[in-house]
Amino acid sequence: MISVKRVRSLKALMLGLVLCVSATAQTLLPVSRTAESQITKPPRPVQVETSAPAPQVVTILHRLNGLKVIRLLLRGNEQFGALANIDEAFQLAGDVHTNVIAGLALSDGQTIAAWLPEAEAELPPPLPFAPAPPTAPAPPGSTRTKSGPAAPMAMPALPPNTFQRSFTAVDVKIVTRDGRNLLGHYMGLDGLTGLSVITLSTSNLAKSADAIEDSIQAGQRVRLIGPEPVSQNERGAKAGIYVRVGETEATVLDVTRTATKTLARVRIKSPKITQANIGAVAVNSSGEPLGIVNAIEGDQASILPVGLVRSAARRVIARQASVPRPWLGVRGEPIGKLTLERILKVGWRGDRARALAEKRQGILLTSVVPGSPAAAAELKPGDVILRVNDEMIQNAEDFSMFLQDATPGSFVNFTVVRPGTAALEAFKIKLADSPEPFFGPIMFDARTAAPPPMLVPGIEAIAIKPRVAARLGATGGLLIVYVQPNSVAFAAGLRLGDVIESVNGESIVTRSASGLVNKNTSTTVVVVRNKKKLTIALPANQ
Amino acid sequence: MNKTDCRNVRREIEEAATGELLTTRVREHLSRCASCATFGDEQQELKNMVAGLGTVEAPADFDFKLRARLAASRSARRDVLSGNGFGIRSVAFATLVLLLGFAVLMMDVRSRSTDSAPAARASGPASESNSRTAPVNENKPSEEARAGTSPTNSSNPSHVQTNPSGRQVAKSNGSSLSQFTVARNGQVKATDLSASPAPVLRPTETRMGSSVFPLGTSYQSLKVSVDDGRGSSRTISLPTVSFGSSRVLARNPAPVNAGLRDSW
Repeated sequence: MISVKRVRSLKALMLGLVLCVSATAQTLLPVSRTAESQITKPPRPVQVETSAPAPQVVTILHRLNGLKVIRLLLRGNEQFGALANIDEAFQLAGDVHTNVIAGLALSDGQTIAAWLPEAEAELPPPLPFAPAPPTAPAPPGSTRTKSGPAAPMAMPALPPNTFQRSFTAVDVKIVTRDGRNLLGHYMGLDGLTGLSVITLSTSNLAKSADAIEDSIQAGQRVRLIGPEPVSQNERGAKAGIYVRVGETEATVLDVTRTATKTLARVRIKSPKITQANIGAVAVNSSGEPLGIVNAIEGDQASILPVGLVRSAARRVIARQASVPRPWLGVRGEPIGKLTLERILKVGWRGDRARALAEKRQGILLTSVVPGSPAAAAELKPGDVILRVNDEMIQNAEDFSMFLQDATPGSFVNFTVVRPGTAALEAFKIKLADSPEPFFGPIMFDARTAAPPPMLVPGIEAIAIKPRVAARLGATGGLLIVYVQPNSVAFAAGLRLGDVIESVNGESIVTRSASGLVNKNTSTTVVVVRNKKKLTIALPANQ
Repeated sequence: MNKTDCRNVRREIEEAATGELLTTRVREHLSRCASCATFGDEQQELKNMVAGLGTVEAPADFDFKLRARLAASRSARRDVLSGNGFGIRSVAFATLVLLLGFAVLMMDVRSRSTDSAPAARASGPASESNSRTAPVNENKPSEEARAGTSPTNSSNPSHVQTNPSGRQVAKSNGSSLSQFTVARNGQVKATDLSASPAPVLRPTETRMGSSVFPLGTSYQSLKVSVDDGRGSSRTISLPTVSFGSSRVLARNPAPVNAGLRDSW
């Protein structure tokens, strides 16, 4: 039974609703009614937000032919004895793989920096590591001057690019944001940053200002721009592979600067970050580039700042070829990131360890590569490098930056404190080229692994089985996948894609046939090129 | 036997790679502890079994398909966030607004039928200025005004328009935004809107617009058979396309990662 009071309250509620609806109607009716009262709060217009276009971000299509892919197979960690068979569609001289990645057009409108994952395919093989002989210890307290190992550590400089281009023919195509297709010229790789530098014949790209480094701060919104595949659902019935430039939003987590206030690294965070974002170009909300994503860890990414990207490009352009990174031969960790226990574990004791941990300065060496410049100078695990050229080291970025300023072959001053001695020690060490100039960290531990035997110095070759050989018009032998342009082999006439069938009349079936070549006498090799046999004489003393 | 010792030894056994020699300390412990020795044997057997299994290779187009799906998924999320996607709440809200509008319309129709007094139609040319107030003769509505244009603002027609019903709308002419309203006394009041924030719409990316381009290749997995030099061979499937940092051979070392470097 509903009480009268309740019915009245319901009626009041209904009346209220009707009044509300009437009031709404009054405001929504045509002007004939509303014009009577002056509108004081007009409807707000709608503003359409469009992201700044960032035209300096381009898409790079890096194509590899079959020989380059086999070269990568050979250099990979594969147990690779011989090439047994390849698909009909696998063309040794034709494109078999395309990598699609973002590139950053620098402010000159002509140079592009990009993190090409297959840059190794365009480079000579890593040279065999040759440790320097051990040296007698120097008296403590004195400045020790040590050079790094001599040849063959040094990375041979490639000849001028006109020659290299015709030989290796790097296939790099640039697609701009407005859809233009441009041919790029691969100039080389910067060993320090891992960035490839590509140039155009003319200034064809959008010129724009970079983001001001001082303005980059935590909490700032950034956009990661890079190419991504278009799925079947989106492209509908269109056949083939389609690419679009996608964006991922992220927020700056923190910014690392060196002791000289140079921006060393920007860390960003986003739940949408994936490994696919490596190589993407980071821009701010105005479309100004911040740098290139060079590492991903979980939902965080590291950006190589645009200032360092520009430095990398300058290094490569100055040399007109790839630039190996200067190499000391140590692995270490910044003291600022270590616990006291960790410092105690490597030989430091009591108050000295505590003082070290509190100061949070320097790099603690955890390993030293035998035969490296560091080993030659008698640096040891447990040593702490406090200063480089009198500049205090606060973190790993500082250390990298100071070494980056040096070039391979230049002398660098190090101030070191050791667990066993209280006094600081000064070292003057000549840096070498990295034995693996471009892919160092991974191959660092594999330094003692013997390089694959070479039939002739300066060439990389792989044994091929009869089915592959038949496609090339040969019966078997070694397929040359790389020839060092300034080598004796090249001068004698050996070329990429040749099949070496025999050496001094003996057939070759495996890569380890180097015993057939006598360095003291001239060697005659029979090669198959374009299904035709050629005889080439290699001079003695190669 | 100390439980901590056993735990440490077992962890070391678990972490040891197949064929890797155990440390002297572990071997000594195994000679004394039957339980750990059994555990070690079991682990060894398990590792041998796993090592004996063939290598499972992902399809060659796995990476491509995964990236395409990730990209599509991201794009779909963007659509939803930016307003092109309609969730249940959006539909419910739209229905409610429609119902309310219908009710208002019905009430208006009813009120019109009972109201015999003619409604005063407000119309008149808009002012020529963005922010100043100008007199308007309400009693002499011009044809131009009814047609939506005004002689006085013909130099800037996009700025203010009056629609056929006499209601005025504001339009942006670039840098400044103004809203004009007509009072009963014939005066137009202009309100500068540039000081108040506007609702923001973010357009979604054109899916197959100019930013999408064909790669000029179709997906095809290429097979290469390699011999390990000891008589056994295997086939490697190579993708014809890779995006970003993914490599043609997943096992090849990644290029230098300057951000995470700890070796110099």
